[in-house]
Amino acid sequence: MMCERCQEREAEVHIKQIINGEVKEYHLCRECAETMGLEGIDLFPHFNFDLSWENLLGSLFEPFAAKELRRPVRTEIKCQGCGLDYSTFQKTGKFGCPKCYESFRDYIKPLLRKIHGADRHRGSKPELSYIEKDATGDELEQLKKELKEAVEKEEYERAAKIRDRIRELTSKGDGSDGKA
Amino acid sequence: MAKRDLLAHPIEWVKGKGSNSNIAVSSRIRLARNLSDFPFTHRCDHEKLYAIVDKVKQVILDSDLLKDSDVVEMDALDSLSRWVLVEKHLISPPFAGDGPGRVVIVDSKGVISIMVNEEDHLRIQVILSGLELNEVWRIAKKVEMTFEKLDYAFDSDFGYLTACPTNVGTGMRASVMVHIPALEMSKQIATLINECNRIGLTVRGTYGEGSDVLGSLYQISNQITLGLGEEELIDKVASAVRQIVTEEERARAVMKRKLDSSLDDRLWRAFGVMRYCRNISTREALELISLIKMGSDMEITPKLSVEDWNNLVLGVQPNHVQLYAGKELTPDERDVYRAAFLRERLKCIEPK
Ligand SMILES: [Zn+2]
Ligand SMILES: [Zn+2]
Repeated sequence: MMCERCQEREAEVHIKQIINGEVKEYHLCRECAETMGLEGIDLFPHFNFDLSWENLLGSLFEPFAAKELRRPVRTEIKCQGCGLDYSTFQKTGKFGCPKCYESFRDYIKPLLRKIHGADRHRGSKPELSYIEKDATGDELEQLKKELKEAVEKEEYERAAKIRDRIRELTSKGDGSDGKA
Repeated sequence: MAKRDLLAHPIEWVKGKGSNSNIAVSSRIRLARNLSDFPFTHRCDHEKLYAIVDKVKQVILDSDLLKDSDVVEMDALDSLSRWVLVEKHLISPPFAGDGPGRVVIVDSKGVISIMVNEEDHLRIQVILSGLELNEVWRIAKKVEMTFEKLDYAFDSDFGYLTACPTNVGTGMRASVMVHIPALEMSKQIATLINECNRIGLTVRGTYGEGSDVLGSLYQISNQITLGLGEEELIDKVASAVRQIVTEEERARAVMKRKLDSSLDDRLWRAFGVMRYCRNISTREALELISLIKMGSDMEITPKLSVEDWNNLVLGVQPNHVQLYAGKELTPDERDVYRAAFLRERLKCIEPK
């Protein structure tokens, strides 16, 4: 195989990279590879094990900002926990503290749907079992209160979720939910 | 604990004991967890970062599972040592950078590593060799529950809360490293990536997004973390990997059946170069190692055990080469020492 840059020498350096899910291959001779700085291997790029925010950023915020939110973000919302404002989050893609999720709850659901195709957790929960068992009764009372409140405020989506949770709790019966 | 001890720490996955470890090199699960009473790491001051470290250390002292672990401050390590840990997959590349309050905890068997104050307060990671995601998950969950008393940030809608919305929910990334040279040679990687993406999996190079694919090693992992349970996500990754293993085996069988002199020559040539080279880059070394491993699996070139193979792959990495030389080296010097390392190792593998 000939070097794809100079078409003169035999290609000896074969480089594969996966960028945004596509494999890019380069076949170069040693000289060209060196001139292109490809001999210094990019073993550890700036990205993490995780999805990179930069790839997502452009596409994520724009489409839903206008459509999905009834309330326009006129006054800047701030997290009650750490003071981070929503526009800073939009810029950096990083929350400031766990309470940010609560503070921006309605705004981030569309974002989560874009990233994950879902906005509700279905995996494991903190399961210090002794707390769970004792809490079930209290939690039920609390949920009933919240349900009433949600219905009064006509927050039907939230009400439906609370109802689901109540159903979950009451259907458990023996207190085990099958999975460890 | 002296830093050199951590570098010589046993690493379980290297031993190659797991199922299918010829092709599915290692299985890894990472869980992201945060403490509910603290801002995320990037918004913590010194005092808060060390408060988190203290809480974590206290849990370790009280834990039967973790009390024999090594607890190491990243700031106490020189840069070479940190990057050796990255190459061993014990810490992430960003964790090797600078910044206060970063601590890594590695259990005595080299199965569990916990990064404290990475992007999230806790990054719990478990790695075993082979396709063993279920066992890895069992261990990871056990470790995770050990720290539960620190009060994880959790929301009944969103699950475990993380600094970045791409990790929220389960906070879990399950990945398997696969060695698939035959699929590469038969030009099936693009299809594989498409198929994986279609079912919500990501394919990456050896050290994550954007890194080069070296030595035909790819990482298959779940893309999303929210909306599916951990077991469902794990099943997805595992069943994709099982298929990939089957496909790779099939491709190798085809290659072996119509083995021509050019492939035969390529495999033996790789063996010869590794045995006698005097100057070799990481990239070339990894390519040759991949070839002689496949040659060994196909019973063409001499037998190379999974453990020896893993040690070769680690040993030729830039920072491991410097560890081998016992000093810091320029890139050119590294290529010379890398060649010496390979010659030394290949001496013990005799052609019949
Ligand atoms: Zn060229
Ligand atoms: Zn906040």
